[in-house]
Amino acid sequence: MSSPEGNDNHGGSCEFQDNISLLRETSFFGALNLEALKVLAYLCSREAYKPGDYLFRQGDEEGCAFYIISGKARLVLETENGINEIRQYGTGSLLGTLSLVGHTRRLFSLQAVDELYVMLLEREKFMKGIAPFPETIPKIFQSLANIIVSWEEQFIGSHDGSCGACTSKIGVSIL
Amino acid sequence: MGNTQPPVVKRSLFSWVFANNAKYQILLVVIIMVTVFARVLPLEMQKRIVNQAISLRKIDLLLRYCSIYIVAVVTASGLKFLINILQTLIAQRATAEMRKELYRHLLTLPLNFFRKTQQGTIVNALAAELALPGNFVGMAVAVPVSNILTLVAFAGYLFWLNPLLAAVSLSIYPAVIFLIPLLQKRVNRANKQRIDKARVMSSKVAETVSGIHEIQSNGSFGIESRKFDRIVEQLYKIRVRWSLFRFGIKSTNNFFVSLGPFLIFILGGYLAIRGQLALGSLVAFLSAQEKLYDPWKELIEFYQVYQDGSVSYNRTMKLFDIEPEHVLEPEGREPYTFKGAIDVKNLSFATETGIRLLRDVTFSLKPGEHLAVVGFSGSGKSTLAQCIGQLYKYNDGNLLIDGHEVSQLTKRDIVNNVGFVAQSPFIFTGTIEENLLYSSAARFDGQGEIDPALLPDRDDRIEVLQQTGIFVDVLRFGLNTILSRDENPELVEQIIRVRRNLQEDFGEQLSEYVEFYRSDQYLFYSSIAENLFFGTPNREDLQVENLPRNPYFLDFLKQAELSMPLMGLGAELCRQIVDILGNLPPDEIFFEQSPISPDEIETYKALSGRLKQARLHRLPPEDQEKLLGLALRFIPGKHKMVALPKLLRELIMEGRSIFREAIQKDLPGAVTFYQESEYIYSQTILNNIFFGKMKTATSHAQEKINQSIIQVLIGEDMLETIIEIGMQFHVGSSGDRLSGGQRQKLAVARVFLKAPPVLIMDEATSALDNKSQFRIQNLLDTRWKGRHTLISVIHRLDTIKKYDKIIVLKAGKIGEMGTYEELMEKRGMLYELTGGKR
Repeated sequence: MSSPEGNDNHGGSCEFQDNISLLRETSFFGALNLEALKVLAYLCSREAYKPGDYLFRQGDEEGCAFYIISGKARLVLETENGINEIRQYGTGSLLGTLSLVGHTRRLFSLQAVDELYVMLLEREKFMKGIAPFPETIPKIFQSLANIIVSWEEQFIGSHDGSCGACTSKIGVSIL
Repeated sequence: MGNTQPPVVKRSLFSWVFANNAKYQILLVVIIMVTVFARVLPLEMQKRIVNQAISLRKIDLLLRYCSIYIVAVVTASGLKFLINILQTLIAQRATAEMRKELYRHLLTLPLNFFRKTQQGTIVNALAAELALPGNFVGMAVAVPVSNILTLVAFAGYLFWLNPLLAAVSLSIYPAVIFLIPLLQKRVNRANKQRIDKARVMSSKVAETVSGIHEIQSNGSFGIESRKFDRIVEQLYKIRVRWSLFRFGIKSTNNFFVSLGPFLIFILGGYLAIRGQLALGSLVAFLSAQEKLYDPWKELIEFYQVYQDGSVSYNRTMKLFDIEPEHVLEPEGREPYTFKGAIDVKNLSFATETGIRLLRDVTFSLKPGEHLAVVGFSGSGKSTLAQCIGQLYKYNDGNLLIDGHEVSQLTKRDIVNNVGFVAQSPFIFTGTIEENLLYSSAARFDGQGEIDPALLPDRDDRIEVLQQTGIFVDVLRFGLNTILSRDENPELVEQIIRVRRNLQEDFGEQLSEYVEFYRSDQYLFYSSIAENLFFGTPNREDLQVENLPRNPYFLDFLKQAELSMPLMGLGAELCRQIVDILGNLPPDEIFFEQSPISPDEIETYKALSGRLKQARLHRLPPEDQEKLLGLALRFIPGKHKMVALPKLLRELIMEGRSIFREAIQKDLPGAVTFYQESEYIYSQTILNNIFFGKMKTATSHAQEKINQSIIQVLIGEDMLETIIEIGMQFHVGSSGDRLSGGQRQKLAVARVFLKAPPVLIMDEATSALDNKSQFRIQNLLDTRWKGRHTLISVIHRLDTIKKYDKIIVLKAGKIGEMGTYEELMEKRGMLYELTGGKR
């Protein structure tokens, strides 16, 4: 899509411009002001993965968010008994924003299902990129809180408030 | 003398005068004797010329005395020069010797000393403060001997001429001798303050250098400048006072000495008028009296150097006057070779301020057993490891290795038997290889150079590189090396051969990650200049930074209709980059994807302001130059803030063939064009193997490329050659060209290479990725267990299952101890620690 070879630049757009529009579509970055968004879009990079390639592995601490531009990826939990697929993500999904905010270990692995093309942002770049814009920090907290709460809301909604054994484990949003 | 000398910090300043220099000092005294004689002789000649030759009108006598005079003067000057040479030699030898000895002593001082002493203080002491004492040592024999002798000789001569006159004119000196020490006391006080303040200043500078990140990120330039200004002001005042007192001594001395001729004129004139003194004698007396002045002045200066030198010397030695905690080499026995049994009984450690970091720790390990030490931070894990490694001296209890108390062992015993990997290991300036061999080399370090045959061979080195996972990094360093023209001609040939095979076997697979050089294709991952040249310039004026000023090149751009489009692209780049980066701090990370460097951003900011006001072709020539330069550096695959228009791309491709034809006609040999059969000396080995460039440098892409490249290199039997080139990679000052993970891997590798009976690892793999941690843990579990005793401080609990014993430390005490299964079953502290992770 936006690899320099393929871009014949009819509309005058470049990867940087594309990155801005992609980031604005997401709920995590969308609320940021344009100045900060420009810097983050500039700091993003692109990467292509072959089917079976891992974007990150369980236990890694690399710290990176991924936006899927095209293709599919699956989230898997690696246990002693084998690999359990949790779910798949397609075009337009943004994953790993929590690892931008703090140094944490991956609890899952993310694997490319087919030819996968992503935009990615590393934690160090994210941290340094927002540092000159302190006014964005409350917005980021807000986005993060929104994401966690709405995730659990959906979870509860889809289980009708009763999912047997899992009821005792819900409540991540009151952390 | 060498062995019986007390430690350097206990030696007096005078002990340096003859140590190692006795021969020179004796030679010096002999030369001085001759010189003094050669100095007095002209006086006598002077007298005889006046009294005998001139008054008797004898030409032959005049000539004879004059000849003796000139010979004496020439000899005296020649010898004086020789004395200076010897003095310099002695002074510099002494300073060098003091520095070496003190540095050797410094290396053995307890860690505590370094925690308490500011870096700058130590640097200043070793670098600056020893010069003055060294000067004193150089002067210590020569100056007093030569000047006192000269003084005595002249004084004797004066008495011989006229005892009364001599006694009167010499009567001023006792007064000087009484006054000067009084002044000198104040000089010394100021000098002590000067040294202390200079140390404070050095420490401040050192602190600034190490804390520059914090200063720049806080923008606390004013705060730090004011702190520094205050110190400099104080130093300035002290230095002024110091200098004034020093000059005070000089002036006092000058004043008294200049009274000499006055006394002689009064008394001598009177005697001459009365006819009791010959005129020749008065002339000789005046000259001799005058000549007293120089040696006297030198003696006073010497006195000052002695005072300043001993103040500096004593202050420096006092700073370092601490006993090392352990003896370095065993005496009367060979160093021990241990099996690795460890017994710890009631071990306690408290800091100087009485904080108890370890209490009553007791455990034991059989040779080859592996112990994991876990616990929250601050529980004393590292302290325990450091006590076993003899880095800290424990206060109470016993710590035995093979039955020997660690505190009683020499450093040599520990070095030969224990390996220590610290949490944030230090990597020294030098190559990867030097750092890799660091621990092994220290084992065989004796008095002289280390015999290379004792060191691990190439296969061993490569094995530990693989074991610790730094192999791929070293491979990459090797592949990123730019070979110089005469280096490795065989390798160059091989690479050109590999190039073809690689393209045939992996071309398609790699094309996702590599852009191959094709003369008919635009290179998105090379700059516009490289695209136009499609080769390496061999002339200075064709280097990319000089192109915007090169008339030949500018002419070519016009001809190819590229001037304005490139300038336009430059303007677009300038506007975009200034818009994105213009107000950001000058952090490297923001500029990685930009053709403008942090130093240039201000220039382009101003330029972008001018761009708003004037059309491109109206801009001043230097602005046009800058924009053109920017465009020529533009790499569309890397600098993504602007797209390369298709039209411009096509123009550049046309330009490439026009340029090649023109150069070949006008400046043959000025550019070496890329050819599949030629090595490109301006580029890395990797680019040469590919005959292309990597598109991204992300770890994902590198991993993909490594797989193919290793396969190719093994096939061509080149892997070890490249690794050896990679091992010559310079890690930068304190290893700053390596990542944290690479530094840790290298530190683990150097201890693995030494393979000691007892291995201590203090969170030695904490900066490594999961895979590398498990690789190293796996190696320890399979290859090291049963052979080498291991004490490992661990913060990640998923690697401890296979340890023979686990200790959970809590507030310096052992909370629980046992195998993983036992402790997990007990559901005690370890269970809590692992549970806390979930």
